[in-house]
Amino acid sequence: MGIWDNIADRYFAKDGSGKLVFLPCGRSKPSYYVDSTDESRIKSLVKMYVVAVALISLTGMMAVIGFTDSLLSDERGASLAHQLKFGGVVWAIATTLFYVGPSLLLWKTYRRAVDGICASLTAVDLASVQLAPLPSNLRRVRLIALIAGFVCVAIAILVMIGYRP
Amino acid sequence: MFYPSSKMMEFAVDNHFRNDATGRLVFVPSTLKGKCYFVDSKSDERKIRAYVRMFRSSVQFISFLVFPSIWIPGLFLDDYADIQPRDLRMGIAFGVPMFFLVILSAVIWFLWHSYKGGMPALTASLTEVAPEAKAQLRPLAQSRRPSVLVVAASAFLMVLGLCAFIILLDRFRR
Repeated sequence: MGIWDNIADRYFAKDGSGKLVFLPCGRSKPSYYVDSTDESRIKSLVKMYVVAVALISLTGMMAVIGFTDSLLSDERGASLAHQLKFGGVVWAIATTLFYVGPSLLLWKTYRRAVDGICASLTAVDLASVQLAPLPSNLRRVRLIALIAGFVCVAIAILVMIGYRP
Repeated sequence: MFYPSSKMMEFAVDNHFRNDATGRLVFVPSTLKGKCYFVDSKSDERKIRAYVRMFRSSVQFISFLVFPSIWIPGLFLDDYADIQPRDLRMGIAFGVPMFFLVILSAVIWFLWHSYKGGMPALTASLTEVAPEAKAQLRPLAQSRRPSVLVVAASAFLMVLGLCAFIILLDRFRR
């Protein structure tokens, strides 16, 4: 679970005195001081959100690809322009329905959960505080994800080249 | 989240809480056979509710994505792709949904694993309920059960949306 901890740590920072600050919606939005008793609980919540976003992205895109591909399979005899137009429309509808919609609903759930939690926390005056990110090895994670992405694309291209209908 | 879904989610979250004989609030992370914890402060309750809501909402959204991922590709491949012979069509009609089902089951399992993983941090400062006291736990009195009408209306809307989508696709084909 190290990767998820690292990603969840992006929602936290430390001020000049070393106090932990929770940044629920980024650095430009309201932030809150977190004491040691609440730290692990809020981190758990953020981690759950991060995992859910990743999984919904995965399943959402899978649903979109499956849906678009299966509908396009019936249009193989049509012209390329028609296929592109048809594929574009189906892809746009499927993306809205299966990816953007659930992601927005999840974001709204997260905001609601965070609003409830942060009601009892002390707000940080961002204008007068210098925030420093928590140390993490997210750069390594990004590099691994990038390499994995390239490998997946390479495999997909090889499969497509080898495909004979 | 839209209103009927939000009400149902509140109901789902309420299912993770019980009252003991004295009226103390008890948090049930998974089942009554597992560990249960007393929740004495409002602040703790709010945080636990937020965490459970996040988990249940994620499961709900992924479950929503399960249907198109599993059935629609198999259905269209089976009905429209003109794959011959019939045995191969059958194989695809079952194989594609099963493949997606395995992946999505793994996704739900991973989410459950994350939920369980976050539990020690969430319950570290809470007192565990004694096993003999679990028999006296009862559901929350103010549990907000969604009305049948709300559930029926949301199901009707979903079916209507699906029909509109199919009609739109049919028109585009012509």
